[in-house]
Amino acid sequence: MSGAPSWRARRRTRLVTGAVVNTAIILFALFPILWGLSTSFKPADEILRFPPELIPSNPTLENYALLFRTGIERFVLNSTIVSVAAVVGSLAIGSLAAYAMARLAFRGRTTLMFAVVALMSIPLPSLLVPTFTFLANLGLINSRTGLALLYTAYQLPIVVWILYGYFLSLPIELENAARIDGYSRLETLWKIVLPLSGPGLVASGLFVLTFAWNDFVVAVVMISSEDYKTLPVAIYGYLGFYGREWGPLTASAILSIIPVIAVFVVFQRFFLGGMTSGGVKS
Amino acid sequence: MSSVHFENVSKHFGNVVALADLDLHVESGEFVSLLGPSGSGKSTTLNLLAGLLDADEGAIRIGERVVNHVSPDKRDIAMVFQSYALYPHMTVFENIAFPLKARRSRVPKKEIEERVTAVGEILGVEALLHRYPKELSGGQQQRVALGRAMVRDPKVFLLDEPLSNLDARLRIRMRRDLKALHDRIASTIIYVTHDQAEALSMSTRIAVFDRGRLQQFGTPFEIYNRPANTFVANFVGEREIVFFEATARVDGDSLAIETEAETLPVAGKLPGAQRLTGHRATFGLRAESLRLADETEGTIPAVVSEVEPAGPDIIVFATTAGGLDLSCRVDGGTAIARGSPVRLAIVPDRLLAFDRETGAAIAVHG
Repeated sequence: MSGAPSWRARRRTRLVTGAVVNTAIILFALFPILWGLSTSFKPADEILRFPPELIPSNPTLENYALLFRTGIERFVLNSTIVSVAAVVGSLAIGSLAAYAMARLAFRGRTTLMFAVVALMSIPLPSLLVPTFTFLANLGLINSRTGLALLYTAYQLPIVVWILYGYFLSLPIELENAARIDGYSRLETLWKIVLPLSGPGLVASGLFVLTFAWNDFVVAVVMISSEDYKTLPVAIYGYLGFYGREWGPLTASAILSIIPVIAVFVVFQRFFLGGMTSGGVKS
Repeated sequence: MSSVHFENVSKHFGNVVALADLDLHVESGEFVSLLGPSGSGKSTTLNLLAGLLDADEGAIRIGERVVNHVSPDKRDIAMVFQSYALYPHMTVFENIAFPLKARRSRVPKKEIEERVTAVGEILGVEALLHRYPKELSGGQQQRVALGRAMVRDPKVFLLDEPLSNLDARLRIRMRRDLKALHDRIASTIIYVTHDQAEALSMSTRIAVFDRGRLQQFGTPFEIYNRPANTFVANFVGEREIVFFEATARVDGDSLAIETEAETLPVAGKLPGAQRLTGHRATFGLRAESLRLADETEGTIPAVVSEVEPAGPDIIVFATTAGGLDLSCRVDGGTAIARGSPVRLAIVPDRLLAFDRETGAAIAVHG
């Protein structure tokens, strides 16, 4: 009787403290985005006014309207095509490569694995010039195909690495059972391994997606035509030569993060795992 | 269904010999258990037959076909794994139907449905067909794993310790079910187990393995009553066998066993006793090799050291005058107390004798 109230009080104190600390962290992390969101709804003459307002007193959709008048949907489309192609390409090639490394015994497997890890540590900028020359020789400069291929190549090592680890964690009896049930290795990969690799596929897919969607430096080097520009390059265009167009800049930045957030929200349940439970008695 | 043949098959893992020079011929329709402790080579044998491992030497045949270089999906075998290996992302129906949907089997959709339902009824899982494996109990999962093997008509069934994850009573019931299943489908079954009771109760023949070598291949009766060597004698049987070294004193077809401390008479005739002449042999006595006797002639005096009730039976542990510790299985109704003197008689048909050097059995039973 006497212990109960103090126990409750302590629990409440702890909950309140936790909530305060968490809110502070969230605000600190999200403030730049909130500020951008706020700015994107302000008319041009109110953006730099002092004192600044977090909630615009005269909210307007003018900045967004301007983006669509100037054809931002073309850049969104370019980014979408290139990102989706990179995700599909790197998962397709990566899962085959990772499965071979995880399950097939072949000469040089360890060396190849080391090579994959080593490739991950090469800084991207050092690759820009050689890949530009390479792409130019292939005639793929200034094309979405070339950009998608490059993203696939850049991200393949990390995809192989993640999927390799994931495949190794799957019980091999399931694959043996499928082989004995009359399925070839490739069919086993398709019908058993990949359906059970949801979390691994989602994790590596998100890596590729965020890289391809957010990439600026590769796209700005490889693409010069207005037709094939991706969203990050287009956003950069609002940091104009003569001035900063803060309204359209923040509006386009907000537009560009929405799809990524949406994808994360949709796929986050896959991170929770539990896909393989109940299949194998341990 | 098909016969299965191993001809001089060997398998090494690095320097470890997993299987040495195996010669094993399983007739079509047999239920053969591969029995042995862990690391004895029984699972290696099964995996070689399934195609999950490649043999270093020798030929493996299923029927007339040499399968050494045939991949598992083309061997036309079905396997039940110790872990069941049910596909977690498929329902029970889809699990059982999976082998029929393989490109090689080409079963029409309607027939798949009929066969899966039929198998589900046989195994008593027809009400669970829409569930996922994780929603089933261990026994139900085991039945589904069995169903996935049964739904086809494979040349050979391979069962890798399928009962070891079940509780004791269910395990004994499943033994009977498996045997009934074998009687009905009359298929060739290769069954791996380390549980000798399973092997003895279900098999037509048992292959006993130790350290990568086949020790004996015979009927359950032969394996239990006529073990080929001391390993088989000791491995098979619920209780440890009592081994002791002694000299045989043979007189016609009757026998007395002389240890350093005493002479143990064998009550009754032993047709192969002559083979022991002059041998220093290792003798083996199981609890059934001795009986409590009333008579004094041809029996061994001993003092009861421990009494262990074992359900229907009592195991009586007794020490002879020469200090030999023996055990004897008697009816559960027998009144007997620790410290009381008893007389034990060796049952000639149950006496086991082995060569002292090689451990190989000496055929004392004729």
